[in-house]
Amino acid sequence: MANLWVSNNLQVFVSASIIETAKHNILLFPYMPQPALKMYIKTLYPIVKAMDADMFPDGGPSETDRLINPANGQGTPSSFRETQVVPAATVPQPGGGDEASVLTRILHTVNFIDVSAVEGRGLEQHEYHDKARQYSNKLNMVLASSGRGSKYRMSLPNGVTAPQIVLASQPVSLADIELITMAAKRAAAAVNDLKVEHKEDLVVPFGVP
Amino acid sequence: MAVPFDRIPDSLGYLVLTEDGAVSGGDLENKEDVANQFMNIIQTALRIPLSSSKKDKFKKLSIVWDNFMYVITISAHKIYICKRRFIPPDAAMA
Repeated sequence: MANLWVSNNLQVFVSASIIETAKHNILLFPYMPQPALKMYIKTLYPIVKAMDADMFPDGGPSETDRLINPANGQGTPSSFRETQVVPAATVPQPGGGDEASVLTRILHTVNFIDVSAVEGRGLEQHEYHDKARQYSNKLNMVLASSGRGSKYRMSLPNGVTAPQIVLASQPVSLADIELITMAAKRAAAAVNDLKVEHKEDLVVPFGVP
Repeated sequence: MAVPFDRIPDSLGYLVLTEDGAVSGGDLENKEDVANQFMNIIQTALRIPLSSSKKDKFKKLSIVWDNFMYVITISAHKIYICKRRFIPPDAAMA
């Protein structure tokens, strides 16, 4: 029996085509109240049943087998065989009583795992600061030891002793400004003039008879 | 030790930045976008080799328009930017 996973915050458009192409037996449903869920299960159950019959003709892993062993956290012990073609949806079984009992059986036996109810384990303020300090210390140690680290930090040079004297000094002469402007214009023009000289084609069509 | 910006002639405003680019004072301190652009320019200019020695960095950086200019210098791990009226020195001498 396929496991049904109910998720609170995933939007999945369940359509017949999706179920037919699904190669694994995990279905995701958006959260919905029980009556609507029952309707979904009612329509989908025959399809799921057909998928199961096709995938496990000799009765493979049962419904209540855990996928992950909680003791040692290993993956699922058996692998599911892939189907070539999922058969088309079979006609639902006649008889309302039979369906109702099947429905209740599904609802009671399937382990609904609500993915949204996750409890976060938050860090305390002081823990967070401690960790941040530890990490930045480790980073600084590594950066300081490697020669290339200083290239990225780009620390400020010491500079002048009296900034106000430098700031109040005579502005740049016009001749210098003219020189710089011409040099920049020429450099920009040269960069724009870069061209690719085409020598040989990279892609050559071969004549295959 | 506050730099006496009012002693600078023709001053139209000033700005003091720390190493990381944080504004630490000045008339122009609310112009954050301009400050960021200055940081970019300064970081690029610091990479220009002025001489064979790697520790030789610029003393004064001027960004000049028609009538005004920004003069930038570095001292004691702080970046000083002063906006001044630009009067071409040759015209002043004539």
